[in-house]
Amino acid sequence: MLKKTLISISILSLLIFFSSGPAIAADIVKVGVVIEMTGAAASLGDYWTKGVKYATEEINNAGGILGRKLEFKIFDTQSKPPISVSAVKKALAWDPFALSGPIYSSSTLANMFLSQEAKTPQNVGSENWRISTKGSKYIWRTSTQQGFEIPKLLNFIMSEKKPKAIAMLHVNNDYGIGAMETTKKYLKEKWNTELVAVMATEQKQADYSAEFTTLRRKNADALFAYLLEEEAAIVYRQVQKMGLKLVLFAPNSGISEDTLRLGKEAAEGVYGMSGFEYNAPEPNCVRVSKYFKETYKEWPDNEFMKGYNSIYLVKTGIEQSGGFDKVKYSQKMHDIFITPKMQKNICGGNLYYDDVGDLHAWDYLVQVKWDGTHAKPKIVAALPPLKGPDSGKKTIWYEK
Amino acid sequence: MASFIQLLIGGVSMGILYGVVAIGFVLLWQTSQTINFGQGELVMVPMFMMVGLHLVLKIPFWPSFILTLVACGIMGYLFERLMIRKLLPGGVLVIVIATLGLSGFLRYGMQIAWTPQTLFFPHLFSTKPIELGDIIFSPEDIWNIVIISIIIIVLHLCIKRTKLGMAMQAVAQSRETAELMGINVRHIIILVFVLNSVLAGTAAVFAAPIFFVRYDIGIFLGVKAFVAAIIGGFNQIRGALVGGLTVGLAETFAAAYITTAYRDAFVMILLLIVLLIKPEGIVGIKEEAY
Repeated sequence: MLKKTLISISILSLLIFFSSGPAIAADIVKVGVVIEMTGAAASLGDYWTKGVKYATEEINNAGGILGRKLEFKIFDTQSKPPISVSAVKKALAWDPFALSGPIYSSSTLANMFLSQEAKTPQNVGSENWRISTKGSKYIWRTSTQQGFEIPKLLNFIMSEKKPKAIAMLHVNNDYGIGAMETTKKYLKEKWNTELVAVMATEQKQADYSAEFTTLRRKNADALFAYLLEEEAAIVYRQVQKMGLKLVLFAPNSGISEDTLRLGKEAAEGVYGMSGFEYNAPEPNCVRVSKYFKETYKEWPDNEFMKGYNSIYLVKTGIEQSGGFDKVKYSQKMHDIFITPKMQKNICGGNLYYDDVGDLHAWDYLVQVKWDGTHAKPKIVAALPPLKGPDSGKKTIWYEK
Repeated sequence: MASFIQLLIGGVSMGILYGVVAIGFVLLWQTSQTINFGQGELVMVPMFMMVGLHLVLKIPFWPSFILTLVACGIMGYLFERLMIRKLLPGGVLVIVIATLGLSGFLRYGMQIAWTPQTLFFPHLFSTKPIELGDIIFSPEDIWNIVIISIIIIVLHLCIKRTKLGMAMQAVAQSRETAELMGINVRHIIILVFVLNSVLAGTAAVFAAPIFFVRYDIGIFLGVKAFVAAIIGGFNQIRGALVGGLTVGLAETFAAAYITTAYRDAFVMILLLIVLLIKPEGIVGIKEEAY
């Protein structure tokens, strides 16, 4: 009788042990994708989630991360900072290992304290320089922040194009304001120059006649258009319509596929800087872009690569820290040089993450060319990062 | 002076677009006491229709335009027949809430059914700038102003001079009296909804090359047009036009001479001033006057 009872208890215990919920949950690496699915940046959020989806499929098909499958769930920020806070709260309640997104700087600045409190890694697509000053050890960027990107672009414009009077249009949010502050400071310190006009613009603004009147009044011969995708395309079309002769230059949002698809021939000649381009001389960018083109019948925006990398960063951190301890992950992912040898699928070549989660990577200087049907980013040069093992390397010129 | 004229052209070309969308608010309010917060989406939907017909199916521009307007007319009819007619007895508040719901349904429906991406739409007119001394302007702006002005003038004349227009005016002033005079009020209301949708479709074709085609553009245009209708006068068609021009010019001149930031705030300040000084709008008529 006792023997039978003991055998029954043992079998029952084994069944409970192998079928328990936590054991199943522990076999999954959960990533909460806190992203702009609706609202002004829905288009960017769509690219990002496609990148997340592709990276997740790739990783799971290759056996997961340290044997565990990856799973993601989307939480919509509606492109609004206050909503992004509740989206992050909801995502954290789902108990993810890491967060991916958002893209908008204003949203990241509003919600990043939550991931810091929860000690949960968050890989964002935001570029405002202030994010790195908040002291979070749980935030990483998927692209170069504006404080590193803008100086590289300005150096090229000032030394090669030699404009006499530069004006700046910037979107009136944290992304644009941060860029305006960086530009003013850098031009003053490095080039002893001041912007002749600084004009903040609204999202969805369609008429720029007031801004262009100011440009003409100030005799500006160069315009730094630090705008979001649609507005950048509208500005290019209006510059063309008004027949203004300007050296036009922009950040990655101004030369992204989303912008060029809309701006078409009006974008011809625009200079810009980006870490990811579908035609960049970097095998992984080319590979994932080809996948995107075959799947969705168009070239991807750089947000696709950023979303893709946000997942590969999670994989890198877990593998490098040797497990699923978020604190160890955080320690390992600072001051780390990620090479294709370490993480073969990651886009962008050599990536260096400093002690505040800022990315230092090669950026591509591009000029937009119109081939009669499409506006395409033509790679002019590859510029080394300002910090990290690759920082001492020379600029590679493809065309001057 | 050149700057002033340049700004004037820019402000008028935007203002007239706001005006033509605002006319819809006025028409619906006058005939059926309806405030349609889905007005912006009535512009967004035909934008997508034009992309589908003209750019995806490669149907030439004019047939696409006509098909779009026909579809808009049907949409207006269905809007009245399936929604407004049933909700009208519930009063304005019920309709406001229902049209807000409809607006969200159309917006997110378009995002899910089609794309969250902004879509390209080609220029309708030449983009080669015209120079007159120091003044540079785009033929697109001038053509937009001229064509939309003609549409509004024709609409105004139809309402003032034709029997149908007079019937619309009668319904606007008193539905009961109009009915007693033998006017088929139901038909007039349907006609106004169809007309409103067709006007919104026309505005869509002119707005698409300027704003591009995006699923959430309706909120922006709807709010601007609503503000324009209030500023100009909610009970006058010319009020919508005056309001549209006032909004377009205010944001352009404020951006040029004060600051480009917070251009929308200037429009809101203007709205507050008008509401405080002349609540019926710049050219609106006090309701007691009826």
